[in-house]
Formats: sequence, C-alpha cells, structure tokens
Amino acid sequence: MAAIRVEQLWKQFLLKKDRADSVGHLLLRMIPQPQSKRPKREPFWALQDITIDMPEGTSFGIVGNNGSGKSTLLKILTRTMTPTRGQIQVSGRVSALIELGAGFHPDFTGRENVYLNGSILGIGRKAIEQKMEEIIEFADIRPFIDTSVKYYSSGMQARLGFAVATSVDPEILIVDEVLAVGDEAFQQRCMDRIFAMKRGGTNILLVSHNLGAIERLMDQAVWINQGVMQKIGNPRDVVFAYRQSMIDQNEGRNQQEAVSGADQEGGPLALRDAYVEINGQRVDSVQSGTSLDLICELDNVSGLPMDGHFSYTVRRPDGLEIVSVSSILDGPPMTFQRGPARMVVHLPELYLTSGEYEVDAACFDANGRRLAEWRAPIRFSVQAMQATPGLLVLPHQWQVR
Amino acid sequence: MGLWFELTRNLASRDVETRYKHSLLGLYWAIINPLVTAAIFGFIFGVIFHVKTKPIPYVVFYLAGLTFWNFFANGIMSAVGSVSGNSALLAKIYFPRVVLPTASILARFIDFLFSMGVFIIFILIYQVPVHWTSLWLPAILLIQIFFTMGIGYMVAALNVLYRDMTQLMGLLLMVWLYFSPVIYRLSQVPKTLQTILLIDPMGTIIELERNVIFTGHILYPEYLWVAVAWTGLVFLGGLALFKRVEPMFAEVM
Repeated sequence: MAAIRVEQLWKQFLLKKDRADSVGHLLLRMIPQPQSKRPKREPFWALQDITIDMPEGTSFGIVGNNGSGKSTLLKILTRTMTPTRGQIQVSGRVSALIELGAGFHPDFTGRENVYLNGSILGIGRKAIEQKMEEIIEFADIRPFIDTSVKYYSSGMQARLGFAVATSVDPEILIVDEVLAVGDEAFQQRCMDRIFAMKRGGTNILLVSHNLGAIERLMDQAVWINQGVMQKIGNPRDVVFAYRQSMIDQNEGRNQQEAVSGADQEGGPLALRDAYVEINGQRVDSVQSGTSLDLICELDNVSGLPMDGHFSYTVRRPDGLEIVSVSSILDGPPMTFQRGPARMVVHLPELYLTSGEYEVDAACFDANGRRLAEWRAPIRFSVQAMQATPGLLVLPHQWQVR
Repeated sequence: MGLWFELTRNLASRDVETRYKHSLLGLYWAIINPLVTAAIFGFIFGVIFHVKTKPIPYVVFYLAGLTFWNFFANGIMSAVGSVSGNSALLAKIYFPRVVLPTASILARFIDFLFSMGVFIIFILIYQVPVHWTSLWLPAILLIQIFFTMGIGYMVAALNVLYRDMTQLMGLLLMVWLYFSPVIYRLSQVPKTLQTILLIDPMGTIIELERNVIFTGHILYPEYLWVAVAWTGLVFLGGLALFKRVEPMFAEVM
C-alpha cells in the first residue's frame, strides 16, 4: 500500500501571451480579426513523466534548482492543481506547508486562524482545542496568540503555520521550503519535529535546499531538473548527483568567466587526494581525542599564484554535520603557489564517539565561490574507550562534594 | 462532508465578523443601507410622485422589497470575489472550492437576518397587519437562496477568468432591480409586461415574499413553479460551470 503514488505525471502550462482576462476583452475578441493576429498558445511542460512511489511509512525528499517544478509537483499532490496527464494517488489525510502564511486571514488573531486552518485541514474545533496549548507552545507566540496575524513577523507566521500543520496528526506531511524562514534554533526544532513524526509513522514529503536534512531524514529522494526526473533512489546518491551537477555548473560558469576575463582570475584548482594523518602517517582509524591532521593535496594548474579558501566538514555517514572549519570564517585568503601543494588543517583534539565518519573538503576562490570539492568523502573510523550515545566523548571528572 | 459544513460556517462567520469588527458602523451595510434606500425611494415615489402603496405605508413597502432584494444582490456581489479574493486559502490545500461562494452567501444571509429584524421593527412601529401566510416565507426564501447560490457559483467561477465580472454584475443587478417588482407592485404594471416580469424568478420570488407577508393573496401561483424550475436549472448549471472551471483556479491566479 503506497501513501503516495505518482504515475507518469505530466503537467503543462499554457503560457497564453494574450489570454482574455476580462469580459471587455472577451467582447473585443468577437470583432473579427485577421487569423494571423490571434495569439498562439505556448505550451510549457512544467513536469515531464514523473513517477514516484512512496510506500506507507516512509519519507521522501525532493531536491532541485529553483523553477525545476518541485512546487508544481507538490501543488498537484495537494490537489490544488490538476495534472495534464498521468495518475496520482494519495491515500491518507494530508497536511501541507506549501506557502508561508497560506490560509491565514490577516485580520484574525492567531488563535482564530488556528481554528480556521484546522477546518481547512479537516480537523474539527474540538480536536483543535485540545491541541491549542501544544501549538502555542511550539510556535512560541503565547503573548501574541490573541493579536491579529497581520501584525506578526514572517518568522512568527512561519512558526504558527508549521505548528498548526504538524499538530493535526496528519498521515502525510508535505513541507516546502518554509523551513528557510525562522532562525536556526527554530529550523532545528522543525527538523526535530519532522523527524519525530517520521518515527511516529507519518509519511513525510520534504522539498528543501537543505541537502543535509534530505540526506539525514529521508528514506528516498528524487532530483528534478526542469521538470524531468534526473535521479531517484537513495538520498545520499541523489544528493551527491545533485551537488555534483551544481559544481559542474559552477565550474562551467567559472571557465566561461576565465575565458572572457583577461586576468585569469579564478583559474582552476585541481584536488588530487584527501586523507587523514596522525604525526605524518596516513591513517583510516583514530583514537577519540587524539590530534590529527586533515590533508588535501591540490594542484594549482592555473599557471599563476592564486588566493583562495578551504573548508573541511566532518559528517556522520547519515549526513549530520558535526564540525566544520572554513578559512573563510577564519581570516584572509591563503595563497596557493603554482603547482602542487598540501592543504593541512590541524585539529588538536577531536572527541568523537566510536563510529564511522566522513570528511568533505572543498576549496573556494578569494570571493568565497566554490571552485572544487573532493568528490569521494574522506572516510575514517573513530574508536573511543567507551561506547556512549551521542556525538562526542568529552573529558570529564566525577566528584562528590 | 460534515467537516466541509464546518469550514463553510467558519468562513461565513469570519466574513461577518471581519465586516463588523473593522468598521465603526459595523451593522451599517446590513441595516442602514436598506433603510436609507427605502427612505430615498419613499421620498421620490411616495412624496414626489404620489405612488400608492396602500394599505402598506410606503416606507414599510419599500423596506420589504429591498430587504429581500438586497439579500440577493449582496449575496451575488460577495460571491463574485469569493474565489479570486481568497488565493491564500486556495494555495493551502484541497477543499471543495464551492465552499467559498457558499460561505459568502451564508454570510450575507446572516446580514439579511439583521435587516429582517429592522424590517420587523418597522412593521411593529407602523402597526401593519401581518398575514398568517407569512409562515410560507421560509419556503420561498429557500428557493431564493438556491437561486442566489446558482448565480453566485457561476459568477464566482467566471470572475477568476474574467476579472471585470464584478463591474458587470454591479451593472446587471442595477438593471435587474428596476425590472423586478421590488419598488413597485406587479399589479401596477400593464398586463402584457406582467407575464414577462414573472418569467424572471426574482420577480416572482419578491412579489410572493411581499404578498405572503402583507396580503395573503398569491396572485400567480402557477409562476411559482416557473421560478422553482429556473432555480433548479440555475443551481445545477451554476454548480456544473463552477466544477468545470475549478481545475483552472490555481493556474490562472
């Protein structure tokens, strides 16, 4: 039994240059005109042959550039739009967070809007009353709940919208981008909540530019580009392919700039190898708490010395970023001389719990534009003295005072 | 299904509340408007042209016609913009869009109840005898509501495609008002014209509503069936048109 099934879905928009949008216009049309003057319909395929199968109890991530058709797909899934061709089947009660503040009436207080939203999502007043405390608590707007929504900041609207949409016990939760609004603490709480709902068996469909979240939270993912499915399956693979394409695009752009620009600025840096070292020895397993070096061998093939930045990110294999160091944040750019070089960052202590970890390496030009990324993550394992839950094993002392 | 009723109710009460919350003369539209119009018509036709409305005092006569007519006209005018003015709701999630015009007509029905109150007060002040056939009023009102909804669905859907439906309906309703026996009696009209006016269901409905309250003489009962047939046709046709245009809402807006 699938929660969401999309079969060979096509969506066409008719970009009619000159649609009659008033009765007056319509009457004018009735005056005969030479045939050639009639505006042509321009078909535009927003989605082409999309097939997605999302089994019950799973979660699905959608990635893609702006304008790739992600939102159109969500609108079709929430039945606010109809497909041109193909079948969709959504079984279960859907709660959606597609647009910020959608469904809020500006003149109404937060509380009244919660009731109104509840009835749009198909929840009765009684049920909403029981949830009210929880919603106010989560949205963190207790002092303002009886104030008109028009006086809310966009962050407050986003928080309330998210709280309502996730508090109505949906069987399927569809979330689009809204997490981009709100501070980091709230985004984290949103992700925690989505994750908790997922554990509780809610089907999640998430559109996000937060690729880490997609990798970490989703069981499957699809990458859509210009209405066409590029890749579907394991979120790691999909996100990797998507990232790769973005890097390729950037490289293409940089090369174009390099060709057009007279002074070879931003010439390519080639990354040759990346690994972990302890005391100059290449290792793939480290003791928790020891000092280590992250190494990336690169080659300045531009023929000129160039300035740039470097960053390393340590991740858990499920995508959770644990620590990130970036020279962009640390100070002025470093200079890479012509030819090969070793980019070393020394971490005096890294107190990770036992497990597998990965490091991403990336280099940037002096303006912070991403130039290259080490494609295969640097893998290493950590052994701690004790097997403890959590991310870190910190030095600690016990005392009875 | 019950949930959609609740949504309709919530939207309607939202509509009424906003209207009364945010204007100083909250009840202005529902009460003062028909009063002022009735006073104007009373002045022009009663005082200047000496039109006979006996045995009913002319203020009560005009108020009767206008109270029922305003429910129809305001219902239509609210329904016109109900879909196009609620794009924030449309973007949210699927619910039967027909809820929107229905809710706005329901909201005008609440207004209508207020103005009915004023109308009753005037009947009491002028001590106009009310006929027992008034008990039929709810049945006739029901026909009027369905007719209003039918037209409301049509114009609400069309207004999404053609945004000047509002102006067009404003004009049309003005013409319609003068061609219906709202500010005159059907018996004052030449015989040949009467038939034409009775074919218009609003003509029959308004005439009936006034007659059951004041005289109890149902002069043209056979035209009631014409009005019922029209209502059925318009309601189903309006609903069908609405359903037909509904898939285009999200794309056009």
